[in-house]
Amino acid sequence: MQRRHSGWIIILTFIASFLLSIMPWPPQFVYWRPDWTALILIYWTMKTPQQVGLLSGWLSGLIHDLLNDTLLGQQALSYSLIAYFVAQIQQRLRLYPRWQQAVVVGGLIAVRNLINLWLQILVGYSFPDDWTWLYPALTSMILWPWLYLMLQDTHRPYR
Amino acid sequence: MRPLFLKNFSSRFLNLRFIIIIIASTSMMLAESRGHLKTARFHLSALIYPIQYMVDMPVKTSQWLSSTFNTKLQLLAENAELQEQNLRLQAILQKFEDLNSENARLRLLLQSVPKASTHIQLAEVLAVAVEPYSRKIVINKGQSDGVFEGQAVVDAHGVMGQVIQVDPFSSTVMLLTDSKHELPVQVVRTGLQTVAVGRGLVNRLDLLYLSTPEIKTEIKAGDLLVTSGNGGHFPAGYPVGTVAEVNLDISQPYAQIQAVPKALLERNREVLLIWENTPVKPSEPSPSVSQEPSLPIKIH
Repeated sequence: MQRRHSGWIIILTFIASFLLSIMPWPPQFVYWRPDWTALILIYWTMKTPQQVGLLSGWLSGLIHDLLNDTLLGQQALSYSLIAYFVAQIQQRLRLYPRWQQAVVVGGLIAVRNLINLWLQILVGYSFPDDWTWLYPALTSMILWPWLYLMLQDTHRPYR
Repeated sequence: MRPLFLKNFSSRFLNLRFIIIIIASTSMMLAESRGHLKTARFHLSALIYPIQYMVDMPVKTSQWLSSTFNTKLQLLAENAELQEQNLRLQAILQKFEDLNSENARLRLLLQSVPKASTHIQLAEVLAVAVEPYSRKIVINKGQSDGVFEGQAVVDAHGVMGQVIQVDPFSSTVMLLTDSKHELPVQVVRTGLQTVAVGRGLVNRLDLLYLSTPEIKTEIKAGDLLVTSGNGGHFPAGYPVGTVAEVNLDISQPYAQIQAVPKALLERNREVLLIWENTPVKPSEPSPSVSQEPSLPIKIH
């Protein structure tokens, strides 16, 4: 059953994800920060692919490019890649059990980080020689089931 | 029929749209890495300032609250401490004034160019995080305050970095420790010149191109590094860091030397922006310079 969701709630959750991703964070956990925008993007692309998808992914990536001072288009590309894959498999993804969804989410975020770091090499940064780029995927994976329940509350009436 | 239509809509042209997005993003990245799109970024960043402001606001508010509800005793103690510090600093400043006038007199005798005058402005670091693989901070002064690209940023202890991106109301500063940052420096004790590059780590700098055998006497752990002013971006004479370890590995082409930055890079709430008024260059070279025999340039 496809139905339209309130556009305001979608926009607000995206703005909240931007705020969360630039919020001050304890320096020893800086690599563990979950990829909030990717989580929100995956959720809404899965729930309402006719409202949120490639373009929303691209625009939120562009905002991340501005916030993080990366090349314009870099994060835009990696976020729209996430949106593309979720839009492709959204019907199957909705039927998956929650933990299986979480694994897919973690995988997508890991791929996004990899692409980001490869693109960073073009600008002159070197690829990190540790596994820190996997950490956000792990934390996002753990967060997914809880975030799913919370976001579901925003558009499902209480009974 | 309706759900069917919606399904078709969401998947229609998905591949085509994705290809368009890939092409658009790639061309934007290529354009920006060649130095275009500066104005686009400048105008777009006015849009994201509210996001940065909203994140920064609670932090600022909590600071304001804690200073408002300080007890009187705490304030008195702090006041006394600050007054003592002020006295001490003024005593040092007296000596500095004396040295400054002496320096000016000596420069006049040597008929050399007077030192540039500097203008300093305080800027606050926005409590905003930038992605962890580069070392950058965002400050609350932008083009409307006259900040320019390449401007030097220091704190009370030493050089912090330079402005790499000026937005209307804020700017991004690349810290010394960013792996793309290079800074010409000089060892105070011996005058040895080198380049300090960041490593992307929190508190480490590498010193490059030092390989001569006599390096052992010219640089050692604990030496103070200052900006040499080469390259023109940075005013000379600001402290950069101290040498932490010198590793003379014969198998390597260059010695491996590491330094620790002086500035409190990750802990600062306030930074200083420096405007250096470049002195007017003399129209003709002074005779003392032209008579000097040309020395071979010594490169370490």
